[in-house]
Amino acid sequence: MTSPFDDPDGRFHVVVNGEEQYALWPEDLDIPAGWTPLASGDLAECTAYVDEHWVDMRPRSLKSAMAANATAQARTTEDVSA
Amino acid sequence: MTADTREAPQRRDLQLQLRQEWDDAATLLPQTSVPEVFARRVAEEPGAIAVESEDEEISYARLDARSDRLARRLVEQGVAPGDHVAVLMRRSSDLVAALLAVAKAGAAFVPLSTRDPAARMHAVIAGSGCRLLLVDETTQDHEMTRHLAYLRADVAIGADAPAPGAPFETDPFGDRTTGPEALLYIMHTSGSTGAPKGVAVTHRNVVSFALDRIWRSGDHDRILFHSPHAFDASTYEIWVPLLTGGTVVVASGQADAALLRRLGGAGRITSVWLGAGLFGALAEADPECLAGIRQVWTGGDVVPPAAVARVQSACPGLTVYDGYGPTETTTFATRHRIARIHPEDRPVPIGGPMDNTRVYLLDDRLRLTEPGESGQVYVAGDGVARGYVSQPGLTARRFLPDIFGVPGERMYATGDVARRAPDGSLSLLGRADDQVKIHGFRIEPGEIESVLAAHPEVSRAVLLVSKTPDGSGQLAAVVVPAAPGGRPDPEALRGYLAERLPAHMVPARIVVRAGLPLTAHDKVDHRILISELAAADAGPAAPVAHTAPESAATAQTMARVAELWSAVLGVDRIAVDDSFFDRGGNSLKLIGLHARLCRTFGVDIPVQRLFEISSIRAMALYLQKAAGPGDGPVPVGDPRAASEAGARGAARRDRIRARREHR
Repeated sequence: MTSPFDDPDGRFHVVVNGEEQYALWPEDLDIPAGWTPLASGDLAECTAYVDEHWVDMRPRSLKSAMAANATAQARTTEDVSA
Repeated sequence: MTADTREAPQRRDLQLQLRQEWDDAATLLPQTSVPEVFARRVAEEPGAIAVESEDEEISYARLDARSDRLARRLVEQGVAPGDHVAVLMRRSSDLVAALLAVAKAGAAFVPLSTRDPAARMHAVIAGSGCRLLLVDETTQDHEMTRHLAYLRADVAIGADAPAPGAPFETDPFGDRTTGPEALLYIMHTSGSTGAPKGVAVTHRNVVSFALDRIWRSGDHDRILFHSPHAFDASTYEIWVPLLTGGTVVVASGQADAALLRRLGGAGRITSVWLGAGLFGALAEADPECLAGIRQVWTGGDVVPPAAVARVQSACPGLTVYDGYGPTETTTFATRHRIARIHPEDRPVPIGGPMDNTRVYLLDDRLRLTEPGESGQVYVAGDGVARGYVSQPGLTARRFLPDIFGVPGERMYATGDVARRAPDGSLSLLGRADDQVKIHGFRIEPGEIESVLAAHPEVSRAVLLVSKTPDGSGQLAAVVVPAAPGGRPDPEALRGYLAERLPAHMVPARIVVRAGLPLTAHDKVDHRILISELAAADAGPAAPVAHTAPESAATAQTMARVAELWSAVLGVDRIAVDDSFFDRGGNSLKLIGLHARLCRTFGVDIPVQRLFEISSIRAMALYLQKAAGPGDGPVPVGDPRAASEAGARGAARRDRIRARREHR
């Protein structure tokens, strides 16, 4: 029994969820709920695709929380300096 | 097979599995960060003891103030939310404060192990993008300080010196984390490609783990912090107490039998994590040392039933748990309370999931397997880490859509293979990627190992694949006897296996060894076993070196020390000047040897000293000195041992107790 995700000859989809997290999924299985296919290919192609496109690995909710915090902090700083 | 017959049992099984798992997953977790949960504990009971070390007790309020001071310094140094801060410090109360301070500043800590070579530290720092290094007095001259901006955490924490009666801190720092999805730490495990993998663990992961209902019995009120902080057992040792109002009891050095006996006997620790290797070593050498402790959690490797049985009969008041989980699912994904066990029982199960955790056994088409069938272990729930830092491709192959959870959730593919018993508890069988092929047959090493380990004369077994001269693979097994010093007959063991397994699964060679060599992470070191097999094939063992003449007493002491070495290392011919570490010893084995030396010679010597004097001759001379003037230490059994050395040990214990009560 080996992991299907270690099979160099396997065919996969690259899928992404609402948090902008990427994953591989066997091409011949249904796309799981909550995931959207972006590309497909063999193991090496899909791994390379993910390495190229998933640049910021923070989940989307964290990215927006951090951006909101940064904005709030910038405003506080402006208030103080004003 | 039609789709219907394939789907029906699948659905039944799914319901069964999910019922078992969801029943256990009822905790409602706060959507919050580690510093916030800690702050609640401070508010509830500011005077409770948060951290205890050899020389001080630190209350929650004081730890809060100390970590606030360092957090402020970190911000002054430019540390911002989302940054990564490397931590190279000895195990101490300052280390606990430092980790909390990094979290309060909104950054993730990246623990470095002082035992690691600099090349690995460079790889870790480069891979995780650290710009600041926290050090202390003991690591300030480490060569990493020449490559990275660093800060003396112990100096920044400084002295408390509060005015009598005044509050410790009037200006709290607060918490700069950005919610539960922010990273708390990045811990590194070895990667198959050779570069370490940085596992990114979030506040949600750790809060969920620390608030598991399993820790609420009162048995985890005082936990020993003795694991390297670069190893995720420290998540249990630090954050379970700090987030539940308990006490972190810091062991500055290596935990050994004497320390566990002393702390447990005095009620200073109620529970401890012992990796399967250390647990096995202590169980063989000195199982009574755990008698004062309420719970021992072990795991990280196959837990030998014989070791558990020895501990259970020596410590009737102790409960032993097996905890299982990779770093990627935050310390433990499953746990198993070990009932009374017999030495011949099958390997200890890993049990069922922790709170807010789901464990699926799937086949290679990602379908749930039937109970009794083996499957790969996939873990879902709040313990699933964010992924591997800077390795998106690898993350996408291991952190997969959780087809049984809320749409969009992820599950982690552990690569472990397990079987589910009818009662729902899981037993590990081996690794998915360890599978070996011999003469075209697929072989699951875990299966052969568990059959061998079930033999009454065997406590543990490891399967190896050695190369024969023609280049094909051949199975070999290394077995550890159930009784110390036992020599099970390899031919009889092969006959035993041949009665239970297909012929192609019976190892061509079975080698008896007194113990198993372990890696720094308490896993069995297959490399050493394989090289020993190859060396044994290459020729006869080296002759024992000639030595200078010794006094009769020294010669006698050396002979006893040599016997203990043989028992611990599983080698027969050792020269008196050989290094313990060159003959297959490691720090865990040294702890086993230390316990045996103390018991045999009735002395109470610090285990650290043994790291410095690693030959039989040096140990014998040291033991003679430790035993004081006269004709050297006397093995237990001689009446003098009980009267002299025993009295010395008792006097020392009394002093320790007096010191403790005096504080």
